[in-house]
Amino acid sequence: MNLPSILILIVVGVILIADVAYLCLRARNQKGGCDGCDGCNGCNLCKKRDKSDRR
Amino acid sequence: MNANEKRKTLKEVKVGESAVIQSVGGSGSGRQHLLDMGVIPGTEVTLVKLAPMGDPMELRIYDYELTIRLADAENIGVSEPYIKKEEKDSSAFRAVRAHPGLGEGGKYHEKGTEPLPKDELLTFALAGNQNCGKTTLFNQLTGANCHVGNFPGVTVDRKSGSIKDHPEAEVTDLPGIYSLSPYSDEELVSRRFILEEKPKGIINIVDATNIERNLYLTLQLMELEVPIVLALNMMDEVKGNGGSVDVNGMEDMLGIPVVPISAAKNEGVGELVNHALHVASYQEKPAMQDFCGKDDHGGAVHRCMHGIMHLIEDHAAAAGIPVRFAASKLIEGDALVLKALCLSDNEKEMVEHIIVQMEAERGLDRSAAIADARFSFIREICAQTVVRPKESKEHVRSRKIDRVLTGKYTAIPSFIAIMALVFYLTFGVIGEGLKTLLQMGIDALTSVVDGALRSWQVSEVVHSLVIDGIFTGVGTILSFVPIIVVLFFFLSLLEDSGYMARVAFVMDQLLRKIGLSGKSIVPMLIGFGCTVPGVMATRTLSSERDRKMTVLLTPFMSCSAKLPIYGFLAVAFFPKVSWLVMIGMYFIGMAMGILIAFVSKKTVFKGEAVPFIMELPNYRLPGAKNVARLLWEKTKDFLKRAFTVILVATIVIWFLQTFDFRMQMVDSSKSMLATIAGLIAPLFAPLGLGDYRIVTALISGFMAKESVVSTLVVLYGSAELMTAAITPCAAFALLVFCLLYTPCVAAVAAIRKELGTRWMLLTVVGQCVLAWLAAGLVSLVGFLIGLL
Repeated sequence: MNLPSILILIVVGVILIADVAYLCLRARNQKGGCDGCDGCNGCNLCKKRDKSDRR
Repeated sequence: MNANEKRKTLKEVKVGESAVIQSVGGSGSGRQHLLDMGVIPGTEVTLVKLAPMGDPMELRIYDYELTIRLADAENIGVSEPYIKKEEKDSSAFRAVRAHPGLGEGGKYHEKGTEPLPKDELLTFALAGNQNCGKTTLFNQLTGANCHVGNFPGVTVDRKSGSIKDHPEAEVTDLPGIYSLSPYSDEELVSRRFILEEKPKGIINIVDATNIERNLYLTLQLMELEVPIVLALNMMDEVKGNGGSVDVNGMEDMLGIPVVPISAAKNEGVGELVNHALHVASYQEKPAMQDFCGKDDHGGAVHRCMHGIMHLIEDHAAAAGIPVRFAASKLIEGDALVLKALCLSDNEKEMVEHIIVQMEAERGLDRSAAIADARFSFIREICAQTVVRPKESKEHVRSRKIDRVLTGKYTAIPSFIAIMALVFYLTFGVIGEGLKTLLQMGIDALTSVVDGALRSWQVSEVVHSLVIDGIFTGVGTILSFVPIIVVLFFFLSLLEDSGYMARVAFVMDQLLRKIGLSGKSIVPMLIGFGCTVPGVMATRTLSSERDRKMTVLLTPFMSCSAKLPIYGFLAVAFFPKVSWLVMIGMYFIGMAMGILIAFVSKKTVFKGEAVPFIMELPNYRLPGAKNVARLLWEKTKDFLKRAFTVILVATIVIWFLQTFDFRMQMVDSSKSMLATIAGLIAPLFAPLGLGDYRIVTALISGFMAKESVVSTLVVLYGSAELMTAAITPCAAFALLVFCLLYTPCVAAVAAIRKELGTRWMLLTVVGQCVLAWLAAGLVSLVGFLIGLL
């Protein structure tokens, strides 16, 4: 395997790890009350919502 | 009226006729909601029109349009309108009043009164009626980008943010409510927030174009004894149509600061913030609460209210409920307040005697009497401080548009034409054209990268990973961005313009046949964009039964993430009629939804839909900024998905289909994936979908529906190879299966949050079984006519 191949593998690996970390974080937020709309509009529902309001 | 004369009901009033309400029958939340909306004895209403199918009816009351069903109208007794006395020009008796200066520096503080400490967080509740511009004001106050719509009840939960340039102040946007009665979830959430979390102040936003009904909530908020500022929104519209409000007079009469603003134009918002900060930091409570006049109809309500207030003073203090609020809610029969007060049987009996005496003296039942007392006070305020605008140009425009869009013979054809146009433009013209352009760009980029990798002589595995995995999988999905964004663009236009509310009005009668109310159409239409906000939008439905049914039906409205599947398979297998197949998918989804609704109406969800009481807002031109923001969010959202969940899924699938369990690079038929999916594949064999590649694609679709296409492309190599591998009939069965099987993980999470784990599991398993049966039916029919 030559140098460009190794460099590409490293880049893809880093992106993959970052993606998995993001997905794990999102899953944790959803557990904490985020609506999981996957289009965060800054409503901060996941952080602010009082769980007693939830049905 | 002659006592022997048969009293008319609102149902008997003819279109265009006016009548005066004499009695409001019915019971429970529906009746209370009507009273809160201003449907009280003595109020004049005009029947504007009936929905195309004859039910519900559109009424004009207090300068706004309200829709109710004929069954509810039958319970409302009316008489001929009074011959109006010549109204005095309200400006004639408006003396020039000095500004009371409430909420302003130092005027009302005795020497030595200290504000709250500087480091104390000033929390505000932003409260107001539905569709009066709360979220627009919230966005202006906080700089947030929350979605704003022109449909009552867009905000279905509360959200908070710091006020711009004032990190010490935090504002919470509450759902739109008409009163503080405990009959809907929104009202309960709002009331609980104010009573239990004790914000330091309330910013009450009022639609100045419809001031009477909006002030009804203001009076109740004032009873909560929390510092309050009144924001008179849409003052630009009032002034533009020749109206005005004597702000000084209103401030004087209400005893709270009043600030005219235009939230959409960001006018007056700075002044509003200053007043809000002032009343909150000095804890300036409303200067008056006693709206029940001593002379109003002999003072029956006044005496009743004050009698009960004295009686329960100690209980209210112990329960931490403001005494006047507690008394008025007790009179209205609020079970939650009654329970919280812990009255003895003797006290309960005394309260009941006082109320019965008031009913006898006032000639109205308890709820109507309280509503009437509030509206009497509001009428007094408006008579002295409000110069009514002439009919606004927005309302004239709405009436003209409604002649067609809710007209008897034109409403349903218009709805079908609008939806057909939306889909035609999305799939056929704008979206498809942009998609082709983008696809060309992606292909060009792929060939450049392919050339570069070859010239660098990268290894075969890395080349395959980048080109066959990432570029093929993610690239295919990216090309669908334009179609999805265009679909969201049209859906947001329909919502922001105010048309969605009309669709609910027009479709109510039809939806009632399958056990739903007209309001259910809105979550379902939103579901065409994405199931997650569709499921969340069901919170605007007041009945648990309607909400459950609508949540379960929303996934049958094919979401935009399934578009790439239809686009890919329809073009590959049915190139000549691809558009027909795509639209057919939408109809099959809707038909299946109707079928499920019929079955559940007869079994799980027996009963009738709740009363359809809804305000029809004026049509408004959607703000370019609002639409642009929504489109950018959707594009960003889609790109984020493409480069996160879909990228990960693509790489994982590429890995599983390139290597075997000994980590040797092999042909995909001997790969790990072939072995794993081969275990499940027999389940799909009867449908003609027993290929491990299809099964893998379906499994990946649970993460995100778009993954189905990227997985198919990665596994088959190209659309041509796929068409050679499966028959058109099997492809159609696959399309039907994809349409109907379990929603993606985000939608499943939303369903779980709304209805709980049991209903979520029912949706996932039920839809998979249904999809299998429907796809099986397609295969069977194909087999019978010799296509398989």
